[in-house]
Amino acid sequence: MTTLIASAHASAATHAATAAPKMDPLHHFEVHNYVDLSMFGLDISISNSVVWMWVAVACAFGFFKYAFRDPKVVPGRAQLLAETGFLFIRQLVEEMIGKEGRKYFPAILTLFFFVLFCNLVGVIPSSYTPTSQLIVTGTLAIVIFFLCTLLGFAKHGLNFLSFFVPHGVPSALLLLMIPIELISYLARPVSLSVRLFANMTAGHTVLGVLFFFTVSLDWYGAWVPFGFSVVFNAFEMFIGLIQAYIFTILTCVYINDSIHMH
Amino acid sequence: MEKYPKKAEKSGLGMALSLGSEMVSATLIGVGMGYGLDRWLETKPWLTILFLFFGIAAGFRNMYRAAVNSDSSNSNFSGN
Repeated sequence: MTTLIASAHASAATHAATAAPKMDPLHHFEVHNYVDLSMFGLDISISNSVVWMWVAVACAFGFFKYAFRDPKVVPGRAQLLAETGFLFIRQLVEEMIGKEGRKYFPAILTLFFFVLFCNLVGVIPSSYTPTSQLIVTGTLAIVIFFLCTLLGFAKHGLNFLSFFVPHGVPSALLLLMIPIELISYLARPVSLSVRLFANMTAGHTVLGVLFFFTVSLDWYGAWVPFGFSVVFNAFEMFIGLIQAYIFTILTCVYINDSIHMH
Repeated sequence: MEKYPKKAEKSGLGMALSLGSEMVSATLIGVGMGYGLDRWLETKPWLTILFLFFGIAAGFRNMYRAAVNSDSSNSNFSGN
């Protein structure tokens, strides 16, 4: 975000005589490569997206390390926060999947904190939000989708195909219902990834527009969009938390469908 | 564990925010499937149109399912 202000300032300075600062609220979604790498024809360059994903993982790791540096029976503030997050996800897993969900709890907890910290590092000025790229959320969603499908086939064998046949439907309607069920199943990874990506991108675009107004207006007008941008930063943190939670709860729903079928 | 709010309370807003993308993604998948089948079977444009409606129906189905899932108090309609 600071980059945006800085670049707007810079362009304002260079074009001060000729034009107003250029409005480019999507500027901070650009991916820059720091190190160009490729392996077996695949582009594995280290970009700002990758770096901020590492930062998010490091933050999550550091947070838990810090919270449990000296665990007490009566927890301090950091320990309480970490324990609340842990228990919150454990309760979610038990509520949505049941006893069998215990096995998947570590994966789901990791997923939640990864998405959460990826969302939250984006609020830091001049940072990059890894989850504002469809490829990142799409990869997560497709991996979840394939693992859930494999889990279904592993648990039920070919019986899992009856997941697409709703019961209590007259057989004449099955010709209609099976494609609908199939499409609604295939739409899961799309809606899972697009929801997270769209929410993060939209929020940060709004912030970009507000910061543009802040730098382009004079001092007596600039405080209005600036004040809004402060409120929106807090709102963006809330959205990041909610979206990480939705991502996790839907993963639980899909795992539950694969295990229990309906 | 009474200290946590009920499932419906804590996820209601989030689920409400997410209903739109269910609709869009199912419609897109439907159209994509129809288009792919059309190209394969050379039946342009009929399967695209048919699967567009299947996609919209699937979108409503997903929306309904999401809405029902988020409302745990209403277990009569839990469907499948």
